[in-house]
Amino acid sequence: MVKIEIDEDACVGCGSCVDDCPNNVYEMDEEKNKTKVVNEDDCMACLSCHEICPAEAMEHKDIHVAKRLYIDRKVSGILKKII
Amino acid sequence: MVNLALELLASCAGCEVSILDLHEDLIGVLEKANLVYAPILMDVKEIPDNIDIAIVSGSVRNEENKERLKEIREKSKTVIAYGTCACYGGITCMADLYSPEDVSARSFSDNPSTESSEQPSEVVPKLLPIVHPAGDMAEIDFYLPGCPPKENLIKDVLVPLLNGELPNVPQKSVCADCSRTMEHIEFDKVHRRVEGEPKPDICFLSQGYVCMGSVTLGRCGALCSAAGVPCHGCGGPSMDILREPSHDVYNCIINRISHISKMPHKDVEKQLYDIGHIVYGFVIGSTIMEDKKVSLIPELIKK
Repeated sequence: MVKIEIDEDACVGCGSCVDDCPNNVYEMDEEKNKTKVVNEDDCMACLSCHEICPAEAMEHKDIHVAKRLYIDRKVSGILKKII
Repeated sequence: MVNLALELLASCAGCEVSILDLHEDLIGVLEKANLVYAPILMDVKEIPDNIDIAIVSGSVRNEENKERLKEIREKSKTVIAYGTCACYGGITCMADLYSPEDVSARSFSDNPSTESSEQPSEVVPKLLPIVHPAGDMAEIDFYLPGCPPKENLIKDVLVPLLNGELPNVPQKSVCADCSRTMEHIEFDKVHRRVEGEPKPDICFLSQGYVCMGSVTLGRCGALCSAAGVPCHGCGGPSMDILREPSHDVYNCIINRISHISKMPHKDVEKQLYDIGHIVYGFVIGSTIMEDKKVSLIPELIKK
């Protein structure tokens, strides 16, 4: 099962993830004007929300490693060194 | 004590000055570090041996830069590529849009803003065919993008490194720090940055301005957008863009404008002009950005 964490400080409340998610995992929290995860079980880890989020506010934990495996060793090496 | 060296290659020296922006925190840094070499601050001409941490800023534009970078790499235990020029090429790599001959001619023999003179043939180091980020020409231990990295970030990174620890700093995009509200408003015209007067509280993208914030690594506090200027992307590509092979600053910014405005992708692409400067301005020299299959950099640069 996928665990989704929202960084509320980063979320800009644009609602793009709510529009984009094919499985309606997200909903807008009208009070806070931030996104919230409502159907975590339905997440299929397509990461389309990652792609659309302008603030990189969400982090998916425990997803299948192939989704995040960058085969280019040069890029992987540099990613680890960026501070 | 840690032996600290600052080296500037082809750069504006803004990165070195940004370290001075630490102000009072500089005292704490200098208690732990011995500044052994810094051409912009000290009168030491040659790179000393036994450097622990070398902070290298700027790109490799000419043969002297190349030699200096090689020498400081050999004499240092840890090399930090400091600033966007050293990491991804930054502004200096926009020279790749022109040939070295054109660049020299513009500076000396065909300069419209001063009296023209002959191009110097002695003392001046020979230009390389293209500009390289320092990170592409030497083994680098850490990359710290930013134009320049802001003082809070430098403090959070430099102090742990001097203590022999790994820094832990956020790696979100500029939007995470921006206080403007992103709204989904339909429009069919992408504005130039000089056109009109943008509203102060609404996201630039929602108003039809090309703002690079969502595809740019932040930690700058979104200073430009707070001052009414759209993000130019000076922090280099965001971590998501670097990580995903099919993501590029160009296609991601087009996607986002299209998503907000409901304009078809092709319409947005037609309205974007001069993408070498506006979209790829700070990453055009980077080989990792150029190597992406979706990148337009190979079409833009002249080798």
